[in-house]
Amino acid sequence: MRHALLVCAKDLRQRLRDRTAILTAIGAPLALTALMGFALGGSSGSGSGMRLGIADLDHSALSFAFVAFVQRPSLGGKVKAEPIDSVEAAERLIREHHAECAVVMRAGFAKSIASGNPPPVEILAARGEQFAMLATRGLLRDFVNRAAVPHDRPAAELIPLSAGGQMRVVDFFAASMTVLFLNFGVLSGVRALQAEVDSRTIVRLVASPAEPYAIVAGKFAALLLLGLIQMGTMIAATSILFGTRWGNPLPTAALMFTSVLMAIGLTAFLMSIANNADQGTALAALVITLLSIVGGQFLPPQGLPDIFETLTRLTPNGQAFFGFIDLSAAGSHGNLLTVAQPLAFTATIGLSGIALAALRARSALQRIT
Amino acid sequence: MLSVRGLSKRFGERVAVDGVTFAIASAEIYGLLGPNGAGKTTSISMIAGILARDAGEITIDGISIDAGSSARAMIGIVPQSITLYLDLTARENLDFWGRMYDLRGAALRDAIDGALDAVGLTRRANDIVGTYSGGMQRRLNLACGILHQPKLVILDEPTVGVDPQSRSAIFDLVERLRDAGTAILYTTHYMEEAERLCARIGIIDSGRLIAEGTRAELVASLGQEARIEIGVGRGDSLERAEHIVSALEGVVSATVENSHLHVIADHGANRLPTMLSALLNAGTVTESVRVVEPNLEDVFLRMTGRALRD
Repeated sequence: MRHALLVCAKDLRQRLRDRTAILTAIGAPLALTALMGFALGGSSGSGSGMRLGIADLDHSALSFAFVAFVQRPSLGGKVKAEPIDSVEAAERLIREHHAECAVVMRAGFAKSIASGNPPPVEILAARGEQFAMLATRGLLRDFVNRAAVPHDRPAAELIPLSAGGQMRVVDFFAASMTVLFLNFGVLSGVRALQAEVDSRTIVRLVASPAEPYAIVAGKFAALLLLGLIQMGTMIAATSILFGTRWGNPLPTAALMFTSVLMAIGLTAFLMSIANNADQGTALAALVITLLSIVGGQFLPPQGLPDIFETLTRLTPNGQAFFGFIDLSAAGSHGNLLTVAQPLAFTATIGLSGIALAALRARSALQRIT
Repeated sequence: MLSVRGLSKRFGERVAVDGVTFAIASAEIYGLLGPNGAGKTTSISMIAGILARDAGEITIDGISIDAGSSARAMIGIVPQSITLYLDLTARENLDFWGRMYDLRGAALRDAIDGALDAVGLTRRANDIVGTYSGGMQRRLNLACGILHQPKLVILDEPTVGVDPQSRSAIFDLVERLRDAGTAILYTTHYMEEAERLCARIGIIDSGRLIAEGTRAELVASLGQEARIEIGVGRGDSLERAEHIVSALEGVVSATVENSHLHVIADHGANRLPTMLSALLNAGTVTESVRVVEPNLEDVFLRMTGRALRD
């Protein structure tokens, strides 16, 4: 135990002395959150909410219900709907900057949904309002999904709360940058571990009286602590600086824990299949970036074609990210069941990655001795 | 202090160490001399308890290396590579390694100060190790291995890539450790180091200990053989001279190396007139002749047919 604590303390001292790593772990995500939030937020990202023109050319009960859907109380007044009567009116609204977005529901809207076909809908957006357009697409998709489910099942059980409808842009990026840079932060720790193998200080550690399990436990504890410190700092900082609400503390803490496990497992595995720390870092950075794109951490997948949302849920970082989004949206009602799937998914990926990396590290150690 | 018997290790089909047996007493420096890839590092990895062995027994002060941490605590290892944390200071490095060997409080502080003084780094103790020269890092590497005053110190090629000043400092420290009663296993492929420091030397090649003894004993094993270096005139062919000398009676080997003909001959000095006249009769001008006292390099060459640094 004493040896494990010594190894852990030494690793923490090294990591906390690395200013670049701290900048990567805390400074960069905070700066990007602020930058992206304010740059892409527009009026939809501010406290005043998004102005949405709605042209109902279908005149059905369902198209009428869309207006009520976007103005439902749970959205907290984030969408200000303005009914209009034509495509021309929608265009004028956008052109004259009276709305960020406009939805035109053409005749046949309700019939198409009922028959399971894509409804005839157009979304118009002002220049520079990409995020508002994505949010509108997300709202529309949620509405269509809800309208398509059997009426005897409560819609809330089937449709996860999502970024498009209830979060501010800055909150979206607070969660996305926290998860994205968690991977990079943990990567710097894993890189140091690989560097210890490359420089063979690990040989001296193994030759010391410390038992191998104590060395492994110490190094793992240091990575875990660093990840938790990083996430905790990000959550505290975004709460204070941007007023981001992360949801119920208990499930949030649980998801933090499994997300750090996921980041350790993912980066450790990628590092273990590389020949050295530099190659491993390059490989891991590439994979993390690709996973972040697919995982919806740059753009919400609700605004993109369906395949993206499916892909998002297949990535470990996407699971973690949308777990935090769901918890934030659920507020005080969020619990462990709200994020049961992300918890299980990220923990499984993390533990599997750690196990595989440990196996490969063992053979690597034999090679260097 | 250290007893190694029948030590063997195989990596797949390749036999890395094959039945190595030797022992080291307290206050003795034992040199393990061999070319790169001979099995030196694999042997010491097993002795230090880092690498599992396939066969053999290793005891330190009567305790098997299999005893684990209690046996490893008696060993100080100085790996060939610089195994330091470059982003920590020298004092922080020593503090960490001292604690890993269960030193604490005043004993730890005294050990750190003593080790820093021994390697001449007291004034740079609080500097980040990454700012040190290669020689200073080597010395600190050594200090980390001896901090806990182990009974056995394993030095794996400790002078690779160091400046003469640091090399001399390392030699002095190794000799002081020996004088203090420490058993030292010193691996090297530098013959001069083995000759200067080691009371006994084991010559290892292809995983096997092919000879062992004091320098005098090993050289004596060559019998009356001597090495003669012959320089020939610019217009003459070394290859032709090699051919002429090789054919003479008593010549064990003749090789061309560094623009000279290197001859090993039985009763070498006595054969010299015959060699010179044979070359003269063949029209080859002899420009220089040197009879070299046999050394460990010659022992290795005689036993393996290869130079130590091949």
